[in-house]
Amino acid sequence: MAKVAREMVAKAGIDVDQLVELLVKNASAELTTYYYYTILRANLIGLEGEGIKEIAEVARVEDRNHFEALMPRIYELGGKLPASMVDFHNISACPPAMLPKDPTDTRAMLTVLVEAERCAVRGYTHICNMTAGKDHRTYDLSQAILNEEIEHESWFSEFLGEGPSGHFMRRGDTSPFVGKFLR
Amino acid sequence: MPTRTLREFTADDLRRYNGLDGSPSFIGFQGKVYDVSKSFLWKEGRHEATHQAGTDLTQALVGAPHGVELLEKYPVVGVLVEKTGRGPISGKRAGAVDPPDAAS
Repeated sequence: MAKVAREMVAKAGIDVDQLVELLVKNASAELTTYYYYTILRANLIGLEGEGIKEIAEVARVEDRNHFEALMPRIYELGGKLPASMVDFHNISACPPAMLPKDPTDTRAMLTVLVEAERCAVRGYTHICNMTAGKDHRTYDLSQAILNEEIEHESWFSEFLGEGPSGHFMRRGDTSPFVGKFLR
Repeated sequence: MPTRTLREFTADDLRRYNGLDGSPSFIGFQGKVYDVSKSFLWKEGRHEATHQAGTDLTQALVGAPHGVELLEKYPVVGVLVEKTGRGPISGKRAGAVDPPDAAS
């Protein structure tokens, strides 16, 4: 634990235990999403599925990077990950991104993907709101993750015909925002 | 066709449905009581490390990172009242008429 770092956050008026709980829940959402997206990506087959397979893969890898980036901050603030992975799964801040009944229904697949990203956008917006101006490190980290989740949401939303995302799919390295937190 | 009458909940009634010790998870919002027991995000009545079921969350939703649309998919199981038999605690009663505008 980073004792003084935790004290500074508490002194700024944040309930540190609540913040840690939120970070653990969101870390769970990231790792479980990485797992469920693996199944989704494997099932994005055929002419329609192939078109979004790579975007789903980028979102999958970046969500795993989010888990990796969150983990040290949880421990810095005096928290920990649950001993049981089953318990960790069940406290996720977002519902599991389950494979739809008909995996050949690309629209249904995209709906699962976009809803998972929207849950993440809400979660990190909440953490940013809590920590802005108070916990500079968690804010920096949450904002970086939020930037990537917003891009994920916009990609899937565009494929659903909800309007342009405003940008291309990632070219080159993944996690342009979160990369600085990864060792 | 008979109209379905919703159960009336006072604040004390609602408090009993906090999702703990096996109780269902009910939350209040704008005069209605919603059953969120089956929601993945309300396990044991707790939501995002911030809210506990068994309470009126009307004000809390103002600062939430989502709107009422996420709540509307859950079943309504009752209405909030100050005392049972007195009608809903917030929102209009069915058939209520607005008072005349004082400026007119």
